[in-house]
Amino acid sequence: MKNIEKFIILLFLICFILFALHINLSKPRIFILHSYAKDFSWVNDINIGIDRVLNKKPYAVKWFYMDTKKHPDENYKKRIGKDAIKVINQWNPDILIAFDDNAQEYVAKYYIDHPKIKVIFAGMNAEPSQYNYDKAQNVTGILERIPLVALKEMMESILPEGNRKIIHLSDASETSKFVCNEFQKYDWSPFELVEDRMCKTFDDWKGTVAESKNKADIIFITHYHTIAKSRTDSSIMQPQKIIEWTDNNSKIPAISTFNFFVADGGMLAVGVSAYEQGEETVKMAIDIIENKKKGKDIPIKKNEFYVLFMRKSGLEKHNMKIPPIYEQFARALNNYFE
Amino acid sequence: MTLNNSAEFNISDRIKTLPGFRKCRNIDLAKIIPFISFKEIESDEYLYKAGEKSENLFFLIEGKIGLFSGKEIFDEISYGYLGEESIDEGSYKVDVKALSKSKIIIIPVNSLSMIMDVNPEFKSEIYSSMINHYIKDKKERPISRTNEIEKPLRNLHKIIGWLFTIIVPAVIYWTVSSSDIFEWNCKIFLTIFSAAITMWIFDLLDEFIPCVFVIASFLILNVAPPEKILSGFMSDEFFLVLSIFGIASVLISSGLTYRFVLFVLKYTPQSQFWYSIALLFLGGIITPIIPSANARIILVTPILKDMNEILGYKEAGKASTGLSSAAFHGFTLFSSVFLSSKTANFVVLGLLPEQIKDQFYWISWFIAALATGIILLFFYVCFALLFFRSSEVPRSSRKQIEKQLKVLGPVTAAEKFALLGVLIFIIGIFTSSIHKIQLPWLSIAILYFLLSFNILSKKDFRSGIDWAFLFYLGGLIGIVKVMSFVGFDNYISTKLSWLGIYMRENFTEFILVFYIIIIITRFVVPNNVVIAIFAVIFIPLSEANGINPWIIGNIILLFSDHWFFPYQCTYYTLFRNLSKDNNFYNQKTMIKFNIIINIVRVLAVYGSIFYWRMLGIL
Repeated sequence: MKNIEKFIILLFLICFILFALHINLSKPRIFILHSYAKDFSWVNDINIGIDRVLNKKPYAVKWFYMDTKKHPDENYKKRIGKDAIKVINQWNPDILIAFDDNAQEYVAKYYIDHPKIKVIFAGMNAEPSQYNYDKAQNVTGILERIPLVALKEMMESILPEGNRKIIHLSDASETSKFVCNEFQKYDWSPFELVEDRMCKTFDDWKGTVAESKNKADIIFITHYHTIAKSRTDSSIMQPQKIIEWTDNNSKIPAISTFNFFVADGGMLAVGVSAYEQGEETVKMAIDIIENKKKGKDIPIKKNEFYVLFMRKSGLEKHNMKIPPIYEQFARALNNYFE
Repeated sequence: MTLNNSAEFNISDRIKTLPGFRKCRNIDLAKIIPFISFKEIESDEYLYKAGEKSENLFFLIEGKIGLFSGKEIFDEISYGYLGEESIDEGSYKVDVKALSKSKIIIIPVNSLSMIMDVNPEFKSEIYSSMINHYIKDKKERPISRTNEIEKPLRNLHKIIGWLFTIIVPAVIYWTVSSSDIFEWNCKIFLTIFSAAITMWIFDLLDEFIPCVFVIASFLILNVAPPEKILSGFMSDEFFLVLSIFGIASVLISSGLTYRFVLFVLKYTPQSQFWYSIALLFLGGIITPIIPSANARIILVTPILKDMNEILGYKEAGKASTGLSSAAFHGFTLFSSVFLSSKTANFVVLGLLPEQIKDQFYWISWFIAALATGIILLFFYVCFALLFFRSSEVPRSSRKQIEKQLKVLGPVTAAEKFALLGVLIFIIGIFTSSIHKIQLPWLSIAILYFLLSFNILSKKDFRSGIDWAFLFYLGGLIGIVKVMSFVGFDNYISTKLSWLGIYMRENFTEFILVFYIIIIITRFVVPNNVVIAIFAVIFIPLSEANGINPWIIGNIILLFSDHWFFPYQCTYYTLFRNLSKDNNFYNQKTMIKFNIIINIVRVLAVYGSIFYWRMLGIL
């Protein structure tokens, strides 16, 4: 009798293991690859967007963070890219969602026309042709394009006529090069983009900020996460320190197109919605999985939404008067920092 | 004589059959085998003499041994333990001599420390054997405890249970997998949860194990985010119960509760009525201090035994049964009145919505349940007076109690610290509006105080805290959070909306229906499982229908305590087992009286409705 009992318990365990295997193996697999680290607010907001859509879907999800903001050197990027490829090959996902340019450059582009894996890109500043995605059968995604129209509207409301010169300041990363390209092609009128300055070191940055008041009326900051401490010390400056220094020393206001700028202590940002990037990629993934689509069946999109971030202390410091509707918008999204 | 190979084989096998060793793990037995030796002694040879240092425990496997006090033989055994006093360091108390050629297993006490650490029953078994030497009319102790008739039936029950545990989830998965009503994770939730419920209903495993199974399965199958699944282990209630266990453990192990009981009885007027009232009163005081009805029964039964003997009541007579009933019900009846009287109360507290939970910590729980408690007490006293009326007059008991108090000596440092801990806790509860520290964190601070002063030793921390229950509690809270995450609570609310409407529009009739459902379920489902299942379903339902979830939770706690047959109630079974050798109460009368108490419970709920309305919680 005791043996029968043991046998049935064993049978139960076997049934459970088989059930668990059946459930787990039948789940479509999504591999989410971030170019940056989890503690970066941009990444965090993308993940919130992903969770909103992925929430109760029966998918197995694996995450990988390349952390290339804190380690911008080429060797590291190549090494982490190889590591990511190794993990992806081992896990053998159905879909690879790659966020931001480094993930495309060092990982995702190697899966073009892969027999099983479909690639969805997001947060990509480069053109799809840069990675041959335009010719691929298994690739789709959402481009990250700075909401320049919204940005111009905002600047029109805060800068008086005659004070409309812009200087663009960024680090010297690959992403910043794409952004500069985009800026140079854009029609800024009635504003004037007087200069694009990509800084390698913090000293370069400080020098540019100091010169800015003679050249422009507003500093336009995009990426600043790969700036080295000095020419002799290639370690990366803490982003908050850069913004803190800029805020304390700049005679003209600085704004950005990324939410992390305000999170790091900046005054104002009209940015791409990271939530939208996360949500849209997962919607595309669901479309591919549930409707058995190929990547090319889903057209490549551009981001449609933007978000506003504000810091009250910064606005007061530069005596900026923001139309109440913008303030309410930022407050409604919980993006208003007191 | 050292062991030869064949003897080693025999002893290795034999050791597993010795009382106390049967429940030991093989790994612990394997560790002590090298220390065990075997000895043969001739007739008239001394095994040991009184006063010799006691370093070995002996087990007589063949022959005959006499235990001598001076020249007088007071016990003679042919199988069993000898030298039990060696368990507590010191010297042997009697002379032990072979009456015929005897074979003895020698177990050095030093080698037993690990077994005693992991298996507290071992020590009780040895003490029990020692006491047996001094009892004149001793009953034969069975060599094996196995009940040959019961075991196959029990196994059959388990086999059927496990078969259901395979079939029920499979049927549920098959049924819901083709349905569009549920999302995939709700389907998995139902499949896994149904397996756990089957395990609970058939009592296949200790009740916390299905919780471990559910939590592990949810994590493996990604049914919900890990922070939801594991939320119970991060909840206030988890840490609150952890500290309560710690404090209660100190109260019991320090002897403070026992001293308190004796103290109250010493000043009780000597009459049948007042002794029963004293036991009820003691029950009322001890109930919120010790969070387990079983632990309270263990505390009160020896006192009850002493009282019955000292008071000279007729065995199984009305007076002794009345006294037993007062002890049993006094220590168990008011469990739902005090939050800290029963671990299951914390399950209900943990399942309450956040905004309700804060309103029902200690004092407010007690105030809300006060009417129920008063009605229970009132009817208990009335019915007990009618039921157990007897002309027997108790003999004086005061001297015996005074003797016991004398043996306890002055209040020890451990008792003082235990009292201090409880006082800080009580003051903390009453002054919570001033200090603004949440009670779970206050109780953790007190636990730290008890641990740092070594009032609660590391050993007591391991053994005094019911870690299995904590897993059960954490698991259940996690299950409810996952249930809400997968949306099954909304589904139940919709499906049971008729009952919800009933609950909302005709609460008095709802109580009766609810009562019938619970008592029927209780015939097949254990108490704590009924609480878990009903609370999980009906607390969200009551919230959705605008009825205070605490009221439903409290009713579940009260009704789930109903029992008609001893198998339905673990603490009654314990009470019966602890008192079976003494036969001091009439079991049939107790069970009949319990039926009246069941009715009293329903009356208490109906009687409380007006009070709850008055408090504005209904």
